[in-house]
Amino acid sequence: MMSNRAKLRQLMLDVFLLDEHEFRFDLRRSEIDTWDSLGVVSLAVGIHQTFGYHPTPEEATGLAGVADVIALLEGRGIDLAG
Amino acid sequence: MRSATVHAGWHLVGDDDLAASHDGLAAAWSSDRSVVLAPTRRGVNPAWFRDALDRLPAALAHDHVALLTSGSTGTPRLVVGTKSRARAMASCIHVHQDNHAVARTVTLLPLTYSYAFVNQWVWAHAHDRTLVVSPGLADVSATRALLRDGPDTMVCLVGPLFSLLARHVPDGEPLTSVTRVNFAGAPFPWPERAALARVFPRARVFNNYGCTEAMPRLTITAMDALTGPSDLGVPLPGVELGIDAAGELRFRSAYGAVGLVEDGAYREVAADQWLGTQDVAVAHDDGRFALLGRRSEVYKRHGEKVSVAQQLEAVRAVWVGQAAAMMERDPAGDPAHVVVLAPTPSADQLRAVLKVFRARFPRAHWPLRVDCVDTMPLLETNKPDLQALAATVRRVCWQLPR
Repeated sequence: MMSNRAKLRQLMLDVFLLDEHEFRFDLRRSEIDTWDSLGVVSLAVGIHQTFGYHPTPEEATGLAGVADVIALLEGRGIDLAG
Repeated sequence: MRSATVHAGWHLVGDDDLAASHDGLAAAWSSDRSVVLAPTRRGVNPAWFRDALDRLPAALAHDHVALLTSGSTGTPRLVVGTKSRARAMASCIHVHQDNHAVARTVTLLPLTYSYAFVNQWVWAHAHDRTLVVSPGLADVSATRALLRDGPDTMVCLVGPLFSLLARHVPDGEPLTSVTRVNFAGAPFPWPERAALARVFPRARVFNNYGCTEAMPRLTITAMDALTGPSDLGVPLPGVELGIDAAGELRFRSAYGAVGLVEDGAYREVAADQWLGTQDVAVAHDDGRFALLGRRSEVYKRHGEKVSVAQQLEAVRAVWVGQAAAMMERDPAGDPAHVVVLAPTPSADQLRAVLKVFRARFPRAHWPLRVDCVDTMPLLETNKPDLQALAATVRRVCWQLPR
């Protein structure tokens, strides 16, 4: 079974069409050309579909990188360690 | 010779008639009798033809020709022109492609297609050239031999058919009798230019654009004059092209249809009447036109005009299998498209396709999903059969959260 960390990685690849080698858990929004306003919406929907938590618009627009997504989900009790 | 089928004064010629002999068609064409080409092997009910012919004015039963099209709608339409216009069209093609030295034409497509009928049968008849019916891909060895040895030859292809044919032509054994290659009926196979030079080293290659209502040609552009895969060039003499308010490419032509039967009714086409092509295009300042895609495949999403045809063209640059697109609605009810690949790509191949979306198109243009099927259902022209594909079970390879 895929870990939550692996699910997040796959979600980021699918939402932003990243190459596998481009992905890092410290990747910043400013480094991803496809993390645009529609990308914000798509990521929020993807987080909901994958982890069951629907970020508020403020939370979704406030995400500045993968680390923020991890912090958001862990703040909702979703374990992304390891 | 099979006995002629005549209805309402029209001489019906079907695929099976042509498979047996062209004599009946030649005799009817040379007389004052009107002729209708009936693609009976493409699932059109003969009763539909009889009903459509019953709706035509009696005056059309002499010196006219009728062809069938389903266009992008899938609904059959009977398109009526005149024999004299068809002959003039064939002569226009003859001059435009400098076909004087071409001795024969070899068929690879059914002659009941307006493209093959005018570019090959009418051309051969009007210019006293030989028409040879090939077995096509049903017997590749025989077709290859036919196109390799013989006098200077013209062929008519569609892009997907060439891709298949090229796989059966080994390096060092080019099809050297072919000196003219026409493409029509699908986007010009721009990525295949090197393969075209390999397979047909003696040929001049032309992109032909038009529709059955144009009977059938609107532009003809030599490959070496094309600026890109969507370039349509400039209209032929006697043809006017324009873009309507919705972006649809429309035309008026001295060769075009004089009437149509659609939705169970006949309507005359006036000499000064513009007809739509069902394609969306843009006009450039230099008089050239560029195709964006079928009207049904160009749509607005998040305020942006999305061309499905351009996206498939980009996919085909990195994907060697079949690719098609189907229209759907997203969860909000807005129009969107799904790309379908066959066979199922590897993870790396899928990533290469997705990378194309990211590199070439803004997010609003990305498909809803990429679906996969083991085998793409194809029409006899080797183009995807979208009706059959809609009924095929597809697997989701990639889906954008929406």
